[in-house]
Amino acid sequence: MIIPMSMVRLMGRKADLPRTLAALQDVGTLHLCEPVGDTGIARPAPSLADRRRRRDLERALADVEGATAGLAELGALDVATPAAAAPAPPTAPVQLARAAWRAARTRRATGRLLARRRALLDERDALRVYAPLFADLEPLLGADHPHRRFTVHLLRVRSDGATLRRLREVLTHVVGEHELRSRTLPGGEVALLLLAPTGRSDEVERLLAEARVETAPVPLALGGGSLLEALPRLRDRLVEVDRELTAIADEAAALAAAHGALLQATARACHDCLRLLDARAQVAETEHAFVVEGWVPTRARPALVAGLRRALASDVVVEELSRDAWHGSEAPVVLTNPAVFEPFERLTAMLPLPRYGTVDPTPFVAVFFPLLFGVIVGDVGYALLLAIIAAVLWRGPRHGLRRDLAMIAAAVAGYAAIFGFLYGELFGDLGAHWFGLRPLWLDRAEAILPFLGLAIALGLVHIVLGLVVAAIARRRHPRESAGRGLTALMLCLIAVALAATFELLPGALFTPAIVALLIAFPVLIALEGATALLELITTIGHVFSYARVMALGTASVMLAIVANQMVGAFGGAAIGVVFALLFHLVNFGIALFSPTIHVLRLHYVEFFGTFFDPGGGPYRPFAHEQPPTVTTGATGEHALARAGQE
Amino acid sequence: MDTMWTAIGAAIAITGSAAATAWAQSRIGSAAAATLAEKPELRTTAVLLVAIPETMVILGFVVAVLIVLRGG
Repeated sequence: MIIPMSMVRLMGRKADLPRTLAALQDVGTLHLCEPVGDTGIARPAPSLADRRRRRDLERALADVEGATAGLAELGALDVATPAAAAPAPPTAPVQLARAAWRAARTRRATGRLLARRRALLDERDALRVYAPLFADLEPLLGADHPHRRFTVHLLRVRSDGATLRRLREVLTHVVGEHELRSRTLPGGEVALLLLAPTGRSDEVERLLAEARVETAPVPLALGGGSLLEALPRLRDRLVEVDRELTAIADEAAALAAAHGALLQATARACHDCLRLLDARAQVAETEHAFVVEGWVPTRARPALVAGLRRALASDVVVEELSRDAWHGSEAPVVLTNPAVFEPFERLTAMLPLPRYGTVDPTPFVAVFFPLLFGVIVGDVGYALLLAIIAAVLWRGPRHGLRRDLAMIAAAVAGYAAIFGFLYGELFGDLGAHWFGLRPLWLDRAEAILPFLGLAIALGLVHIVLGLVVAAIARRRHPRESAGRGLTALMLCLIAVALAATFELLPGALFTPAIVALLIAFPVLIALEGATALLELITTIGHVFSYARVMALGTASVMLAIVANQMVGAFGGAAIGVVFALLFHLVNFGIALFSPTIHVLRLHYVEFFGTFFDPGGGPYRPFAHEQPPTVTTGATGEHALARAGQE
Repeated sequence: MDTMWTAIGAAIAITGSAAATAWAQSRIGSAAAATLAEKPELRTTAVLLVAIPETMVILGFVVAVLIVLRGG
């Protein structure tokens, strides 16, 4: 549901404005807005001092965030966890200026460390690529080794084994005695080390040029020159690079220890000051007085008033504006739902927030998403696999995406198991063969038309529910409300007429249903205008769109049955079992993806189209920046809890 | 002969709707991919738009099933 909001107005002497804003930021529950206008007081343009201060703060914040990100990239600072001994945020201008100066210095130092570290890592990667080849070369360079009279060529080719064999043959034919070693590089290229007689160097180079074989350069870090000269320096350089990287890590750790906590505190202080400037821009002022307006969750209003009283005594007047003074479309939206429904806010969050005063669709999604998913998948075996996925996701933090996905997976697994028993399916017809599992209600592999009827009946219930919700939600607009209600009634009458035609209901109901439809139709046109016919046809189309539930479900069970038939279809039982398992795995993958997309689409397009009114703004209370926490609440309710008003 | 025509009818129902869906999804999918490259926040809309033409093949499948069940 959407939390009820109240609009409050604060008025006081201009001299008390800084104290008032500070108190509001401390309480942290008022979502500021422009004054509604009946005060007749205008908002002044930001002063030059305010603009200059904003620019300085943004620059300081950029330095702080740059330094923090740099230290995090160096592995010296964990930005997700608060500092153990966090200092108080530097609030005084002088303190803040000093902190900003330190942040700028830290950012420059961090930038230097990062640049040096990147260069060293690149160098180490290059050295490690060639190290194995150089190791091959080392024994050949002994003082008494015959290859001492040979020239070394380092080559790089993008080729396969056949090309290498051809290269060897040509070298043997043209050059005679030679040594060719190869290593496959991480990028798929092949590095070659060729030792050829020094007297045949020209021929070798011409041959390589004709074959368009690229000569790999000696890593610059080894000081250039020939490979023979570079080799002894390779190992020393690798050790040196590692030592330098360790020194950089130590330096970064020292920087983080010295400045990390202050950086976090400075970032919060900068955000707080910027929010204060934003808040000032929302205040209407005269020469001697000010007016602040904003929304607060109705249940948090007493706490807001009490907090202001404590800080300001009776210096500021606080009044609640009546509901008639503001439009619902302007109010921010906070969703709150029971714990079992809350994970499904992830699914509704993919669309814009509903407008204030309309309906939060989360509870309906929480009920119908797992239900429709279960109707489609409907297999005890796949339900067990889903339950395993839910159990794996469940391990971890108590809040956050993983836990929400685990709860959604558990819900769909439950419904898939229930419908699995109703359909008598365990990995298709395997349950019937092994355990004698029989359908408790419907054998959907055979009863395709009843399954289609079930899917469309579910669609009818879903769409009619949406229309009824719309009729109730728009009760302040009687014509619209009556139009939605009448559309729902007409859908039911059409369903009754069709059921009577197919003898699912007594045939005597057909004529009354048609007569009622003929009466209702002109009334609908009178209520909603000439487009009512088009909307009715669209709505009927939406109901038939639920046929996809049957189509996907039938495809799912057929694929499972085909998978089971593979066991005896490939000669050997073992090969058949492997193919069957693979096919079940593919079917399970499809069963995860396809029903999710289609059930979401049925909600977003067909169901939400009946009542959902998007366009609500998020609730952003004027508050202090919170220190980072590992808990990531997704909902406005959590924001409210963090603001300390629960 | 009747069985053959039933099968051909069902095949036409599913083939036509599948080809139409494939054509529509190819156009929408390429446009959606281009959109997501610039505005990743539109992913939900993109997925929905890509999924919308599947109604055609699903209804084609239902019609094919009805042809087979009624005609067979």
